[in-house]
Amino acid sequence: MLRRVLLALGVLFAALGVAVAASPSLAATLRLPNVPRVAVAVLAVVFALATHAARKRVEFRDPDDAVVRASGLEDRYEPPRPGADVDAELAIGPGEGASGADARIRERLRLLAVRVLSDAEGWSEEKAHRRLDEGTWTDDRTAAALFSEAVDPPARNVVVEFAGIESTREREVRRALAELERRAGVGGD
Amino acid sequence: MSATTTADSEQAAGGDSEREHDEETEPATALVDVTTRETNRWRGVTALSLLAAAAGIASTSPAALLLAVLGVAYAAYGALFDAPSPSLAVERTIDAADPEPGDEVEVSLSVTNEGAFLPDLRVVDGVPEGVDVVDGSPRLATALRAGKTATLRYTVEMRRGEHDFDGVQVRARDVAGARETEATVRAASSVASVPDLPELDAFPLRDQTVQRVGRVPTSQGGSGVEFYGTREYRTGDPLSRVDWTRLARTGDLSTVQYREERAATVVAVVDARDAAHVADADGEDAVEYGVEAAGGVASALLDAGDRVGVAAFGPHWEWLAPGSGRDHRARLRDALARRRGFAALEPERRFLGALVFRRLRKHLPADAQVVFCSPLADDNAAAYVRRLEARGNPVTVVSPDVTGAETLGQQVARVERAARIRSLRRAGVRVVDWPVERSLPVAVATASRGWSQ
Amino acid sequence: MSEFDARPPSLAVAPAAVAAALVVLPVAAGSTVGLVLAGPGVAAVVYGAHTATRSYVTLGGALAFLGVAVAAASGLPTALALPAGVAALVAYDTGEHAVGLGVDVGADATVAQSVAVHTAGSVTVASLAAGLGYAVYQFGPTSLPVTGLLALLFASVFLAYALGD
Repeated sequence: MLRRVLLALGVLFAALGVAVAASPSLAATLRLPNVPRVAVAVLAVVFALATHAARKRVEFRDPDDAVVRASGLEDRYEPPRPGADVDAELAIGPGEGASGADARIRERLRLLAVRVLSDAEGWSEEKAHRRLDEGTWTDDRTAAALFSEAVDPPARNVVVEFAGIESTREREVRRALAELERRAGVGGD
Repeated sequence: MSATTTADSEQAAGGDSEREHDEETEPATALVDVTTRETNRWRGVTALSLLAAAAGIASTSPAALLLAVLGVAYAAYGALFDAPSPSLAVERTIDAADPEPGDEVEVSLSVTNEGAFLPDLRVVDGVPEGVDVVDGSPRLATALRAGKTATLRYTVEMRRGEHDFDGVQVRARDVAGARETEATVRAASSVASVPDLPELDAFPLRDQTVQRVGRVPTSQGGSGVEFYGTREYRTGDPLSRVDWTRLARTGDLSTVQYREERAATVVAVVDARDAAHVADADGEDAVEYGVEAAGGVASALLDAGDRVGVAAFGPHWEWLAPGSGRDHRARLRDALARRRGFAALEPERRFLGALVFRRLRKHLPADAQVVFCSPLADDNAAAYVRRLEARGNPVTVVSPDVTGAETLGQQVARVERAARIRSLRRAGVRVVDWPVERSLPVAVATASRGWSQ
Repeated sequence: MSEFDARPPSLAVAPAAVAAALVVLPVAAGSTVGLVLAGPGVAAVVYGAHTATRSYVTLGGALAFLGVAVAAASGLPTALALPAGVAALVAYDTGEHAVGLGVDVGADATVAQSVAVHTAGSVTVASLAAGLGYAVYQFGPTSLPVTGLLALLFASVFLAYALGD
C-alpha cells in the first residue's frame, strides 16, 4: 500500500518537474516558493545519510562466514598433534587465564616428573616430591627452578627474554623436559 | 574400467549396491531446503544518487543531475526481476572401480537446467568428509540457458573407508544480483575403499589357561601337536605314541609327549576415543595406524588358526565377535574398512567411558586375550588396559608412536607416553612400541625379541 | 590444493579493473578535485575485489561515484562525466559480484559464464540509462527553475522508496 502511495507521489512530482521544465512560467502561475538551493542540497544529503544507515544493517555473506561454513569441503579432518593442548596453554601470554594455565602446566609436569623419577631412580613418590621441592633431583639449576621455589635459576639471559624468543618459563620447561627425557631413556630418533 | 555411480532420486533404493553396477537411475531433481532472499547489494545506491543530485543542484550542473538519474536507474534495475526458481537435474559420475587408499578418483557432476534461463548459478558439490580434493574444484559459477548442461570435474584422493557424497548446494541469482534462491539438490553417491588386511606373519600371544585345542602353548604336556619330550612308558599309553626309534636303538620303552596347543580367542580393540585422534608429522590420524595394527594382528592370528574379533572402543562403538575362517576374514576386513567406529574422522558423539567399558566387558569372552591398539596419548588408555588385565583378559598393547619433538608440548607428550609404556611393562603387560616410520612387522619382531615365552 | 581460498578468481576481478580505468581517465582529463575522490575510490574497489573485502568495494564504489559527481559539478563536460559515472557504477557492481563469487566458489573455480552475463547486464543498463538521460538533456529544456529541481528531487526519492531500495 505504502509503495503505491510513494509511487504515485513520485510520478506526480516528476510530472510537475517536467511541466515546469517545459513551461517555466508555470512555476509563477502555481505560486510555488523559490526555495534556496542550499536547502535543497541539505535535504538531499539528509536523505542520503538515511539510506546509508539502512544499508549498514544488512548482513552480507562475508568471507569469514565462508571460511567457517563450506571451506572444510576440500580437505579432510586433520587431528591435532599430541601435546597440542600443552602448547596452547604455554601460549597463553600474560593476561586473563594466564595464572590458571601456568598452574595446570606445572601440575602436569610435576606429575610426569614424579612418575619418571620414581621409575628411573626407584624413589618413592614421597621422596620424588621432596627432591623436586628441594631442587636436588638434578644438577641443572634451570630445570630445578621449574618445580622448586628454593632454587634460583642462573642469571636470566635478558636479551633472549627481551627478544621474545623464549620466556623464562619456557626455558625452564625445556631444560626440565630434557633432563626427564634423559632419565626416562627417551629421544634420539 | 569406469563405474557410473549415478544419483538416486529422493526415494533412494535401500541398502548399498556394489560399486561396479552400471545402473542408470534417473538423474536427481529433488530440490530441498529452498530459501529465497534479497541480497541487498543495491541498497544505498539511491543515497548516492541523491548526493549527486545535491551536488548538481548546488552547482546547477546538469551532468551531476544526470548521474543521479543513473543511480536511480540502477535502483530500478535491482527491483526489476524476481528471484529465480531453478529447476535442475544433476548427475554425478565417479570414475572408480574398487579403489585402493591413495588412488586418485575423478568425480564429475553435470547440472542440467530444466527450467528458464539462469543468469547466475553457483554450484557446490557435497564432497565427503573423509577425502581430500587434490585437483580441480568442486565448485562452479555459471550462466545456464534452458536445456543446457554444465559440468564440473575434480579429483579426490581416496582413503580407507566408505565415503558418502552429500547433496549439491546451488544458489541462483537474477541478472541484477538482487534476489537469490538457495537450494540443495539431493544426489546421493558413495565410494568405498576396502583395503586388504595388512600382512603380518606372526603375532606372539601370551600364556593362559584355555579349553579349546589350538595354538597357545601351555606348559602342561599332553596330547597335542608340538613335541615336548619323552617319558617312561606307562600301561595304557596309546601304541601310536610309542617312540619306536628309541626302542630300536636302546631297547627302552618310552612315550612321546606333545605340548597341548589350544586355539586362542583374541579381540583386537582399537582405541577410537577423542584423545586417541592425534596426528603424526604427516597429519595421519593415530586411529588409522590403530586400525592397521588391528588388521595385521587379525591377519596373523587367523592364519595361525586362532579366533579373532575386533572392537572400536570409542564414541562410535563397533563389535565383531571372534571367529575364524575365510568368510570371517572377509567380514573383519570389511568391518575395519567401512564401519564408522574405525573411521579416521572426528568423533561426532560424546564418549561415556564407563558405559562403553561396561559394554566391552559384557561382549568380551572370559578366556579372550586383548590386543589394544592405541597411541597411549592419555592416562585413561593405560587405565583401561590395567582394568582389562585385572579382569583376567591378558592384554598386549600395540602403540603407534605419533609423538614429535618439535614443540615443548610435543616433547611433554612424548615423555608422558614413554612413562606410560614403562609403567605398563612393569605391570606385566606386553607393549609393542611402534614408531610409525617403520613397518608394523619390524616393530612386532623387535618387541617380541624381548619377550620370553 | 586442499585449502579453500575464499577470494575471487582473477577473471572475476578483471571487469572491475577495466571499469576502474574508464573512471580515472575521463575524470583526470577534466577535474583534479574529482580525481582526488575517484582515484582512491576505484583503487579501493579493485583491491577490495581482489582480496574479497566487501567493505572496501562498497566504500570505494561510493567514493568513485561521488568523485565523478563532484567532477561533474565542478565543470567536467557531460560527454566525459556520463561514461565515467557509468564506469563507476559498473566497477562497483562487478567488484561486489566478484566478492560474492569468491565467498561462494573460491579462487579455483570456473566463473567465466557468470561474470560475462553479469557484466553484460550491468553495462547494458547503465548505458541505456545514460543514453536516455543524455538524449533528454540534449533535446530537453535549457534551464530549470529551482522548483522544478525540487520536484524532480522528491520524485526520485519517492520512486526509489517505491522501488524498494
